[in-house]
Amino acid sequence: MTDPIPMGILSAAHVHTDAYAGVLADREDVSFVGVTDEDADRGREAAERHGTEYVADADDLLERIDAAVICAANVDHRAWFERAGAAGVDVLCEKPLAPTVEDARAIVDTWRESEIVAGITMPLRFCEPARRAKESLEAGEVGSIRSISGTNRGQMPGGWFVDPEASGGGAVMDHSVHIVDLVLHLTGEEVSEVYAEVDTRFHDIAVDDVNVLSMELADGTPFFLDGSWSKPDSWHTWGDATLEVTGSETTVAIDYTDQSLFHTVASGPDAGVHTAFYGTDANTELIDDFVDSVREGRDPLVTPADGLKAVAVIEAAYESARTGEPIDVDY
Amino acid sequence: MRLGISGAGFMARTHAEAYEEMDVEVVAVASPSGPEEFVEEFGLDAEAYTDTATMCEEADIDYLDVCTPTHTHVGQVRTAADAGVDIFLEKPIAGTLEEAAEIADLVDDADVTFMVGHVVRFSPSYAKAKDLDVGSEGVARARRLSPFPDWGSADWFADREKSGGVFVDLAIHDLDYLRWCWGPVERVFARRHREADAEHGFVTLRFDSGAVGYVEASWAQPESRPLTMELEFAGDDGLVEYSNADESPYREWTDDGTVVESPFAKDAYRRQLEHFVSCVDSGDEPPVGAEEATEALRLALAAERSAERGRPVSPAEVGR
Repeated sequence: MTDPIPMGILSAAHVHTDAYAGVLADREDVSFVGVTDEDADRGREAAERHGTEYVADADDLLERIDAAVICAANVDHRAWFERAGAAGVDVLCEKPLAPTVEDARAIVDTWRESEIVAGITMPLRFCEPARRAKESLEAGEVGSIRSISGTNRGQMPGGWFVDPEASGGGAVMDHSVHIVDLVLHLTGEEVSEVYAEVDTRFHDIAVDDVNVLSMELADGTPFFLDGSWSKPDSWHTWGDATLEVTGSETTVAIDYTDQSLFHTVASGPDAGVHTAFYGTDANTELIDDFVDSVREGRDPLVTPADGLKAVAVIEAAYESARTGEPIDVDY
Repeated sequence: MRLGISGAGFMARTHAEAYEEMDVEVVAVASPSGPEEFVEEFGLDAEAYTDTATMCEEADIDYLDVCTPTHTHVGQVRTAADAGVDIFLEKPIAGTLEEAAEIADLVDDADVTFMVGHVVRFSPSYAKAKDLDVGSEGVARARRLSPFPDWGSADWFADREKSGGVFVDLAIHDLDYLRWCWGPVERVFARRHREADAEHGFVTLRFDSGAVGYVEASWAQPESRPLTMELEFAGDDGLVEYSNADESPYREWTDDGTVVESPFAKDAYRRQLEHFVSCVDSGDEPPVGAEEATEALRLALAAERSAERGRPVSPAEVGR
C-alpha cells in the first residue's frame, strides 16, 4: 500500500465540516493531520470530534499536508484557495465556489497558475439516482430534452449563512448551485438566462429565503428550480433535492433523499417524526474521487471551472431580482 | 332537475359518470356527429340531437352542461342564454378575453345561473389544503403533468388556435386555484417548450401580497404516466404538501397490471356539479362565475404573452 496522503481541514465554519471530517478520519489511505480555524474554539471542537489535532497556525498545517478540504464561509474561499495554491496544497472547496463571479474567476486563475488539484463539493453528481440518470441520458434513452424541473428546498441554516458579510447571500447563494451543477453535468448545457423571484418571507433574517428561478439552457430548454429555505425546522429532514427531466422518449426523475426510513422519536428534545437516509453516501463518493485525483494528479469530477459557472448563475439571479428582468448569464 | 349535455367527448363522459350518482335527469345530449352511442353507453333516457339550439328549444331542460371544445364556448353560451336556460360551462371560459367578455354579457343579460368548471376547487385534497394554516404566505408550488391530450375530436387540443395550449387549457386549473387561495397576481413570468404534439411550461407568479408561486404544466409526458398532480403551500409557520403519486388508498395487482384508485363517496366532479345544481335550485351565485373564470384566463394569457415575449407580464396589461 502507498503512504497515506496527509490531509487537513481549512476552517470548520461550514455545517458540512463534520460530514467531510468523518470521511477523512475513516479512510486508511488518508492521514487526517489536523484542522485549522481562525475561530480557535470552533476549530478545537471540530478536531476533537474527529480525533485529530487543532493547528492554530494555518501555515504550519499547510506545510504538513498535501491536500485539504476548505469548509470556510463563502467569502473566505478565495483567501484559502490562494494560501493553498501558494503552498502547493491540493484543495476540495465547499460550494458555492465564491459569492461573486469576480472572486470565482480569481480562484480559477489561482487554480490554473498554481497547478494544484482542485475540486468543489457537489455531492449530487455522486448520488446513485443521479448516476443512474446520467446513464440513461448518455445511452440516449431520454431522447431530446423538453424541460427540466428541480427542487433544492431546505431548512434555514442560520449562523454565518444568514450574515451577508460572510455568505454573500441567502437561499439563492446557498441552494442554487447543487441543481444547476447537476443539470450542467447531466446535459452538458450551461444556463444562458435566469429570471428570479427572490425575497425574504419565511424568516426574520438579513438575507433572502425565497429562491425561485426560471432558467433557460443554451439549447433553449426551460429549466425551473425552487431552492428556497422553505422547509420548517420541524420538517422531517434537512430538505430535499429532486430533478425531473422530461424527454421526447422518457421522463427521468430522481429524488436524492428518497432512500430513507421514517424514524419516530418518542421523547426528549428530538421527539417527532424524522427520516434516516440509507442510500449510498454521496459525500464518501465525493471524497473518494478527490483523494484519487490527488493521488493520480488528475482533475476531480467537479473543477473550479464548473464552480465558476454555477456562481455566474447566482450572480445573474440576484441581478434579475434587482432589475425584475430576465438576465443573460455572463461566463 | 332536467339537463342537457352538449358534447359527447372526454369531459361529457366524465360528467355523465357523475350524473349517474346524482338526483338529476340527463334528458338530452347534443353532438354534431350524433350522440347516440354516448346515450346508449350511459343507458340514458335522453333525446339525441346534432345541434345545441334545437336541443335547448325542444328538450325542456333546466340547464345546459357545455362540454365542447374551448373555441365553441361563446356560441354554446349564446344559444343557451337565448333559450333562457342556466349554464354550466367547462373550463376554460374561452380562449380569448373578448370571448370571455361576450360570455359574461350574454349570461348577465339573460339573467341565467352560470358557472365555469374549475373543478380543482372542488377536489377534496385541494379544498382541504386551502383551509390549512401555514402562517404568512411564502412560496406556492403546483404541478400538473399529463401525456398529450389526444382524446379531443379532430385533435382539437393540438390546434393552439382552438385549445390555447398548455397554459390556457391545463395550467389554468392551478392558476385559478392559487389565485383563489392566495389572491390576485401582480406579475407572471413564463417559459415553455412547444412541439406539435407536446408542450411543457412553467409560470412564475408574484402575488399582490408579495408571496411567490409557480405552476408547472405538462402535455409532454409518456403515455405510461398517469396524470400527476402536486401541490405545496410553504409559509412562515407551516407547510402543506400533496402529491397524488403518493396517494394509494386502494390498490389491485393482477397478472395484467396494477390498479391504484383514490375512491371518494363524492369525487371532485360530483361535488362540483352538485354545487352547481344547488345554485340552480336556490338561485345562489355560483362560486366561479364569469368574473373569476375570466381572471384565471387572464393569468393564463399573461403567461402565454410572457413566454412569447421573454419578459415578465402584468395580468392587468392583458386585454385592457
